[in-house]
Amino acid sequence: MKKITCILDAILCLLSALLCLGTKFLFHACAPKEDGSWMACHWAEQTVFGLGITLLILSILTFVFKDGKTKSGVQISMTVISALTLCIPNHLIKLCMMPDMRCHSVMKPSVMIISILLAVFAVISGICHRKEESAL
Amino acid sequence: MKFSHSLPFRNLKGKPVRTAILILLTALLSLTVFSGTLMITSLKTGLHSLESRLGADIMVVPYEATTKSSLENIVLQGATGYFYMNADKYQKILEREGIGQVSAQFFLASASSGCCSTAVQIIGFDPDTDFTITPWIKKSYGNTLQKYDVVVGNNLNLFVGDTVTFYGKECHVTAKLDKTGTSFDTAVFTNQDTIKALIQSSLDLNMNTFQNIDPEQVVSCVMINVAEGYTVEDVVNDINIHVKKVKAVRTKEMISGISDSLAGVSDVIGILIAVVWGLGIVILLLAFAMSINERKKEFAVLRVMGASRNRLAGIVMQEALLTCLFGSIVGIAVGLLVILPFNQLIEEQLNLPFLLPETGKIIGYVISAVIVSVISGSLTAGVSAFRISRIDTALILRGEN
Repeated sequence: MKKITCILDAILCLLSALLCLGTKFLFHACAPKEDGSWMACHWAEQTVFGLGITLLILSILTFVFKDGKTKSGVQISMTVISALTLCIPNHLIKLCMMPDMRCHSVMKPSVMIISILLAVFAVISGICHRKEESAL
Repeated sequence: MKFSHSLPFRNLKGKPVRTAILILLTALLSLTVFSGTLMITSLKTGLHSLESRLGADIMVVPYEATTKSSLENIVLQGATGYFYMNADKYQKILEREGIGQVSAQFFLASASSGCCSTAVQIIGFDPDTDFTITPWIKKSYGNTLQKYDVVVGNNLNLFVGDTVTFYGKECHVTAKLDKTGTSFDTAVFTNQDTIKALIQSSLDLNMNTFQNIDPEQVVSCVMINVAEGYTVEDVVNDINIHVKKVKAVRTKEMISGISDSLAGVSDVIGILIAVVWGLGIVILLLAFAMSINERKKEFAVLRVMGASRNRLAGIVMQEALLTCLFGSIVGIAVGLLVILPFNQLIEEQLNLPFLLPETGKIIGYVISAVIVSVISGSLTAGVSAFRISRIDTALILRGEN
């Protein structure tokens, strides 16, 4: 069981890092306008990046904490933050108007998939940590 | 007995690497068949949607529009643009024989500068005569459009109640259309009064490439349905011969290029499915054979302990069933996670009409893909199950086989 939870925690760490770095370098929002000003999607990107850093710190903390209950508590918060991240592009912060723009066709689906995976793995890992704790 | 305590499940759990490889192989099989089928169906649905949205037998446009290739770009590819011809051409077309239903349309592209909220294609129609756009709009909006009311395509990030500015005129979004998978998803529709006012406004702001036109005296294209007793070919030829400076085009001809591209893409996807499927089956057959081969002693011991030949075959088949079922679910989940959220990107990259089928149909494909993957996986394992049920226990335990 310990091996599985370790793998799950590592996956969470990797997904959080992917969310942070990917939002900035891989599936970033639209480029600035010709006059240098940003469109609304840029602020969605910034928010996702901030939440990604929070998730990364929390996922690293699961390796630091020894207590299973604390670990599962951290993972509950990761689930909630992942759900919040999922809602950022176009729901909480509006993206650009045209669907063929990068923020709609690349950033939104990528953030959506990573957030769903993060939430699912955080729930599974939280349950595993609880089971591990009760088995001791 | 609990499922988690059953022998096949414990066998799979005991060899996680072997199980993971088998799951990965079946996941690849189901991913290929599911994603491929969904892609081909979405392309075909998109083309069908485009055919029904064009909704007329013939489209008559100014001759210059056909020479600049702007026609297909605007009508089929979703590019923004406009062209105009004198309204007297519309009257001349009306006088020709074989004309059944006929209605004029007006095009205008908004700019993405300070005058407009965004750059979109605006299509105006005459509600009294229109037969191509109105039936489709009626599905989403039952009332009559008033001046400065607009209906927006499904992909635009605009919603009922929003206000959008075109050439300094504020327009009210009164309805949002269903998704079509075509360029109409990014267009804005309005009545002829509104579009004429917008054309005038674009001229006043000096933002229209046509400088000397009177919005009241121009149309962009004329949509025609042929009257009974006449062929489309006859009417097209008649208009092209007798009405100057216009070009009548069969709408089916317009989308023939897209149909050809779609057939090509479908063929490539079909071949890829067949190749990956064939290779996957062979690899799965080998994987099961090798796995059973190295477990011969394990099965021989079970046989000595009293397990019947059928029981041994049953264990192999149950293991295969479990791995194939789990693998196919994983493969389909990956397929859904890629195709559903990234469908817009796929459409852009393919540059073809792409419309995902209804949810019910997608569920049908999911179930079919699971069944096909499980059956083929189980059949490949069946060969190994048959072999293991025929093993000579004594020879194997002596290490001679």
